[in-house]
Amino acid sequence: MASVLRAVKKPRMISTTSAMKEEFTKHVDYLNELNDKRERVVKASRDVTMNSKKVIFQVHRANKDNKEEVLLKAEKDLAATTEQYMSRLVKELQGTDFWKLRRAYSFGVQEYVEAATFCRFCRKGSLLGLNEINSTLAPLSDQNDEPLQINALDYLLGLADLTGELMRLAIGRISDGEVDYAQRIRRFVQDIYRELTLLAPMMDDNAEMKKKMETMLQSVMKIENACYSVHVRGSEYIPLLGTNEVDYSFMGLTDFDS
Amino acid sequence: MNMGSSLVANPMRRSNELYVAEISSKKPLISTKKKEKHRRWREKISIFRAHNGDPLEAIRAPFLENGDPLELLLSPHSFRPTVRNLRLPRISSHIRRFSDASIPPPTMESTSPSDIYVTADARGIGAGSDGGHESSLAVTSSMGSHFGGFIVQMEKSGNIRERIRSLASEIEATNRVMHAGLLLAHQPLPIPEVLKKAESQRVVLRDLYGRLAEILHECPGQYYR
Repeated sequence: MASVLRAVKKPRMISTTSAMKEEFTKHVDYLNELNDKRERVVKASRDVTMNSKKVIFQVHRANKDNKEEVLLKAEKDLAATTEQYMSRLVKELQGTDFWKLRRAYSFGVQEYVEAATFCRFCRKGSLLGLNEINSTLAPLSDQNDEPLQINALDYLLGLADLTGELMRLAIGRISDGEVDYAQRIRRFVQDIYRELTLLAPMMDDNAEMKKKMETMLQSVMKIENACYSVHVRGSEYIPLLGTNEVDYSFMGLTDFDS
Repeated sequence: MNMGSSLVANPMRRSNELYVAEISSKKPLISTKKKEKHRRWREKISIFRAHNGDPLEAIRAPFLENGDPLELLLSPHSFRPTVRNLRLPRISSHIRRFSDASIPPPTMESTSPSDIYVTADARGIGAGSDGGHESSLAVTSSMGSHFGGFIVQMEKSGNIRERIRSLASEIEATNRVMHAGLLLAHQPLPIPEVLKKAESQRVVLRDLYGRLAEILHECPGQYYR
């Protein structure tokens, strides 16, 4: 009897453990793949950040003598950044997980927006819109994949950073004597600040934007103070306003040479 | 079976039942404060925009709508010094909110950033002020229309976010009821009886997740946003 029972006795199978292990193996594979993708996206985003900063530094080198050639070079560098580095970012994202991996590439995109809008302002004096930027990125994506489109949040954060660069530009232009240009920058920055004041509370997770708004206010006030000082004390700045000739007319005296 | 004696015999069961009854009677936590805050913010934006983005005009207008301020002050009959007459939209407080945090000591006499927005362009600073003023108005208006689109977008996503939040709080309340019912498993009770309460909440939970899926269908590709 015991031998018969032993013969029909089935071996014990721990089936639940193997099914659970299989399930978790799938999760592990998925997470590993996602982390690898995230690493590659972060690397591509860093390259975009670095090259966008180079474009911004290039634009800052412009003055009234070399403006055209410097801007041309900056625009070429921006186009190269778009073709080489933004396209790599697009390739790594592969048309998926735009919002899932947003934190990985947001800083790069913000820097890119800052560089692109900065170039546009220096060239034409106007604001480069989000649709225009996205239209330049659309050809980079594969036809089968969903194209990478910069979202409004990253665009607005990039725009907030732009005001800091415009502040540096305005101060630089004032020291070179281009006061009118500085006034245009002042108006432009004030407009951006006013519009973003309305938008900032509505943004998702607006802690970052709140910090940028504080910095933006400082930039606006620096530009305003500089323009105000030049306007009120303008006579003391005559040697800076484009002429090297000494002029004593503000003291009520005639020129010694005439 | 005598119910009274069973309750007396098992006071723990009685207190657990009362606990479950208390939780299920609580209303879901809908963030009415946030809705109210959002509604007030939208009102202020419309006032601000109605006055072409001019903060001082937006503040002055309601005051002037009550008539000539001097007349109001002098006439004992028409002007009643109530809070209603003197109420002004608090646009400036929102502008101030961003400036108060780290505002340096004022370098300009009796000017604030909001004043400069109004007066600087009015004075037409810089050479060629007329042409410069017109071009600046053109830039301002184009920027306004550009950003107007963003405001609409943010409002829409804010509304969806509010709906998701209220639904999430309802889901959380249902989960609490289920969890409280399942805690009875630690008591010497038959398992089917313990599961009965949790099972009844399963239908509610399924319905809530269905509503969440409908909301997420309205914004495709933004699940992780």
